[in-house]
Amino acid sequence: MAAKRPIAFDACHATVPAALFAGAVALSMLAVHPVCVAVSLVGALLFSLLARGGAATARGLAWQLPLLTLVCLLNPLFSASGSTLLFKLGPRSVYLESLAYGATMGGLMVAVVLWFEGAAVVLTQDRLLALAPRRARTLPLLLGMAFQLVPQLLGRSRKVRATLSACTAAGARPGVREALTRTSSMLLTWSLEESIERADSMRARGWESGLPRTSYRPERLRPRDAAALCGIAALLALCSVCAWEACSAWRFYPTIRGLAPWWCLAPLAVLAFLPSGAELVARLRERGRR
Amino acid sequence: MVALALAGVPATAGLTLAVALLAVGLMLVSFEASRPALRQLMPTAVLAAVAAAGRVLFSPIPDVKPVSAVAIVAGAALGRRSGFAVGAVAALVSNFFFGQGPWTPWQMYAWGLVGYVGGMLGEKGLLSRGAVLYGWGFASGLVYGLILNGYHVLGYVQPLTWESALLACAASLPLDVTHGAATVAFLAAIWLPWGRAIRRVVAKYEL
Repeated sequence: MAAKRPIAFDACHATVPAALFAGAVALSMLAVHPVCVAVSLVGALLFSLLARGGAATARGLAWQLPLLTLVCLLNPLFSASGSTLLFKLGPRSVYLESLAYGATMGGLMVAVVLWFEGAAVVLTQDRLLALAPRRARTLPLLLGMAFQLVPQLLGRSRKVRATLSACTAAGARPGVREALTRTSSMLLTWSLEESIERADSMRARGWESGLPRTSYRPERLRPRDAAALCGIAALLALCSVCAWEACSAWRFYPTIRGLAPWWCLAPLAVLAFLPSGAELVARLRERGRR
Repeated sequence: MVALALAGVPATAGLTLAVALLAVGLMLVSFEASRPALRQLMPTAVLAAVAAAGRVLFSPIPDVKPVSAVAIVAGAALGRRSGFAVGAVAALVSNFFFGQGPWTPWQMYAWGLVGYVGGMLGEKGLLSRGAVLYGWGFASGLVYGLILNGYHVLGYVQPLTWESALLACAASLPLDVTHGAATVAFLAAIWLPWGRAIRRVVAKYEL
């Protein structure tokens, strides 16, 4: 099933999804607790399925699951600690607690990656630019240019190579190293000259005239955006308190113990499922309107 | 950071991420505050894009990445701040092809540092000596590896001991040496032709 573009955050200011996703990432990274990590992972996976579709999520998981396993296995190999001995691997002892810590960290890493991918679908490049302060011009320009240049350069490198191999007057075909150096210097000269010309043309159109940067898509902070931001801030504050409670009671070593009461984890679950919930509600509402 | 990890604070992964973000942010804000002219900014963007595209093109060969070499060339040609910006932006942009994660700010910082030091050496005129150029090229692979090991060991291995840290560094040493050697090879290949190309553009457009 091809994924539909996420629509839940289209109508609000870009700071609302940015705050939500930044909060989700920060809490998943700071709350090192198996249940918190699992909740965050499930929430991120659900949003990824909704926003990016099953195929893209599966493609991502094809490298994220090995990463999880790697991080999980590296911890007991690098640091042998704990009380429940599982088995011995050469001179290293592998303990259950150490493995559990590794699994938690692996899950944490994959959850953060999934949140980043979900955020990248919602916060497209033009919306991210709108988040940068109006007075900042250097960095948004640098990032925007670099993003657009990479696909262009990859296409141009194919063009240069095709031209060189089609040109019989260019002499005998050079070796791999020679060809790479030649292609890269041609690409560099081409792009550098073009970039200087682009700089002059941008200057001629009023860049560096001292006015603030204009934006393609106007983003206005409306009262309901402010209300949503306040709501997210309150939820994040509640989540931090609960995560602090849950994590300070939790111990991996020497034995795993200290599970927090369920109400401590409820706000974290609300935060983790908020993006996918908002997306589902928006889609149902749109279907009702048709 | 090290003290936090040794004390066994479990949230060290998050805190180190915050520190890396802060460091990269401060460097980039100082780049923004230096108000580079448009004619200097555009080559910076081009070199960052070239580094990112090179990383994508060479991605089938593990640990052979031209980003460090391009960052050093950029630092030498455009100054230390531009060198940092090239390394950091190249890491950020190329990770859109490989996958963003908590490692992105660390890679941005590590490659930015490689470019920054390249710029510092270039401003002192030391990079015209082959030994310094290739020495820093090789060392940059080790520095990059050390920073990224640090991020993994400090944040994701617990309990942290000297033994585990050394073990992690030893495990990644072959990869770091490959990275350093690849950087030297890239520098040897591009230093003269790219220097010529950049000087030609400088002369043609009277920069």
